[in-house]
Amino acid sequence: MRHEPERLATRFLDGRMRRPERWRYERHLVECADCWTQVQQARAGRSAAESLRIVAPARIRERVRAIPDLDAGTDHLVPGRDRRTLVLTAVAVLVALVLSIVVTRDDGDRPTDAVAEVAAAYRDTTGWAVSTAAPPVRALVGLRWTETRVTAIDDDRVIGFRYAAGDGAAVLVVQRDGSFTTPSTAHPVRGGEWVTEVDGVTVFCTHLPDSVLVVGSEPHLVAKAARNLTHRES
Amino acid sequence: MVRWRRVDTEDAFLEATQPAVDLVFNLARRLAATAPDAEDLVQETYLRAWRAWRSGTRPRRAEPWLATICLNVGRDRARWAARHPECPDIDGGDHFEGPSDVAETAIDRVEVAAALAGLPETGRVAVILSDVCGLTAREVAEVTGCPLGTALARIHRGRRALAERLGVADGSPREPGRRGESNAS
Repeated sequence: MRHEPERLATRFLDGRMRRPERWRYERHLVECADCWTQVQQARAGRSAAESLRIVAPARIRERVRAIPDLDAGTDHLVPGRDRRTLVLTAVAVLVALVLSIVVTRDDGDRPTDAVAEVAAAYRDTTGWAVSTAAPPVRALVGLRWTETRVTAIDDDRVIGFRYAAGDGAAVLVVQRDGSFTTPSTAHPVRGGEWVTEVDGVTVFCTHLPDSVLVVGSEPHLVAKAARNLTHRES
Repeated sequence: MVRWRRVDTEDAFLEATQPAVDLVFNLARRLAATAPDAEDLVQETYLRAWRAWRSGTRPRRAEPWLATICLNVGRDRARWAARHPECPDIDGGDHFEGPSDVAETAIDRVEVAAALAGLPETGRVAVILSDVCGLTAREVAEVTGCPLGTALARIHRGRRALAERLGVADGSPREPGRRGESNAS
């Protein structure tokens, strides 16, 4: 057995010595300070590092389980577009929205149900599944992102990002795979945007360029959040 | 038909990768500056793994595959964080009790975490993968892209350096070692 303290200690601690060699080495450890130090130091370091092991909390496991369901769809919200691109895109969207409003004007039930369901979710999202999808922004008008939830409305995947503050102020930013058709109760704002109220909850529709609903109980906060979303820069 | 195929793919992915959640979380916790960042790193790791899986990637073993992804993403984020320094949370956030069997003395976990964080990168990463995450030396070599002998040396030197930093490397009565000593998890 050549005397190479580090190599021998490494092989010993990794279980790579066959029995005869291991016995010889163990007897050698009693007599050799260098090899003994190598082994003791490595053992102590290993034990210390192993003490850092922790079990992943349940919410981590839940987030991992939800990964396949959440992969698609979240890149509809594209952060960081420059103002010029947003303006040009908003103009194109405005034209499309005007046409779509004319075509779908008589179809009142479907969009109203979707908007009503989103408005109801502002107060109670327990019927929506928890999601691990990251929001487009982590903070909005002084509110911090607190959770993401998903559901299905009319076979479309709908995802909602809740932002809240400690004083109870909150908004819900909602996006769907399709687009939110303008309800008959909507008041036009500008550039195809509209706003309506459902059971005391303000619902503001803006475009990024796909339609996104900003929902909350405080109209000024909702409008401000929508403006921030459309005008944030990369 | 497409929907059923996707469900099968999802089930297979989760079956193969969910058992490694603890490993990935422990690695992320040692790479990220804060507990929330570690959770994001876990999510990003699994998201990238899922996308690779969906594209046809099928690793022989999920643990080293996920550890490689996590390590690469963690390093990218660390480079970004170095340009935007924050107060590091060495071992803050939620604690979930796991086995704690430090042989020689009772050492505070925060002290251990800080000592580990202060090691040179090659030794630190080797010890994290081997002793915190439980990978074998061969898997450590695969994840770090080095020969097995190099991985063994890095693990050994990293452990010794950690012990020296913690001051737990002094001599004790000389006795033969434990039989069948191995770091295999």
